[in-house]
Amino acid sequence: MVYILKKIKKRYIIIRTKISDKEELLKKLVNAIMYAFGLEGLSRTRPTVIYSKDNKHVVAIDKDGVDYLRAALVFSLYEDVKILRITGTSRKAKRIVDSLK
Amino acid sequence: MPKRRFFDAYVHLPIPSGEGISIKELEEKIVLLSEKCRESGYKGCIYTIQVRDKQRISRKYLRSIYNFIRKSEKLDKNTVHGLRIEIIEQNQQKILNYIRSLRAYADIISIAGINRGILALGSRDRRVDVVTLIPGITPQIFRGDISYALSLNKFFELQLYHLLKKDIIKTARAIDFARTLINPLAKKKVNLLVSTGPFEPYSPRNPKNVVAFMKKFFDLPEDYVVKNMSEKIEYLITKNRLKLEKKIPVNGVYIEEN
Repeated sequence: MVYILKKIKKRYIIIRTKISDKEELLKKLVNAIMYAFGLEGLSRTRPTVIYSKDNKHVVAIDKDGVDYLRAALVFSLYEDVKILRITGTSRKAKRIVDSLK
Repeated sequence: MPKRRFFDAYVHLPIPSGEGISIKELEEKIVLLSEKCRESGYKGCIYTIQVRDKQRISRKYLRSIYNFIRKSEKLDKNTVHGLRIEIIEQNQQKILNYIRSLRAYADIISIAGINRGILALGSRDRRVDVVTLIPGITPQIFRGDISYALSLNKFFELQLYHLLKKDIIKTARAIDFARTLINPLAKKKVNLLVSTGPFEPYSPRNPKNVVAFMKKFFDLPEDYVVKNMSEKIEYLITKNRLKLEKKIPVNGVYIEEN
């Protein structure tokens, strides 16, 4: 029997940080979520960095995880990770990152 | 849909002792603080001066700060910056004296709810606008206090400064204390402010992040937090200014200009 899982909707978050390395940013986000919500919160957000240019990145997360990520960022300073915009498609997110100076 | 105009209700200003910092230095600091505040996503900020026990504040000093803030407000359009005085004192009589002497020099007067008596005083006195809750120190808020606060349209305030500690266990404890304080207020829909607090150096958080934080950690409705951080606090400042200009002599009476 084949179970077809419902496709989970994603949101694409455009982030500006001082960090330019993808891996390092992902580590930082994961640590922030783990600190605030633990493994449960991480399973609800599942962040992945899909695109980066200079110090701007596009992070894909589950739709329900947006609030988790935002709440987790309260524990870090605003200069460290700054959310610029949230989009519904990766194409649009990439286009915005490319257009930003 | 118009964007929300968030306000940071606690931007800490150093104590004006008259000797420590000159007015010019303070004005430069205000400009820096407002830039930082705007960068983090707030539209306006309320500069706060703490008044602690046995401290004297020169009224001339206060007046000049207030005038500078009003002037800076006119430079960038569509913003409101306010001045607030926070009284941290254990003696009720001293608090009343402070309120009497300083009410005319600030947009907002707030007191720290350190003990039961002050909490009762803060929720009953018309001249006090905001009562600050300190998790772990502020006692339980009674039904009577809540009903007075509702009828007088008062604000209770929670500062991130008291929640975000360096130690994880202390943070967890503070959040737990805050939850027990806030739950009865949120049930009755009492105005609840969430502000940055006296971080040194000033480090504001994005208001949308703060809203998400309140939603996830305290189970508060998003709309309730957002309204209090934007519309209601702006309304409070404009109303208090009209009161100071004597355009609202008594509650419910507004004198129109010809």
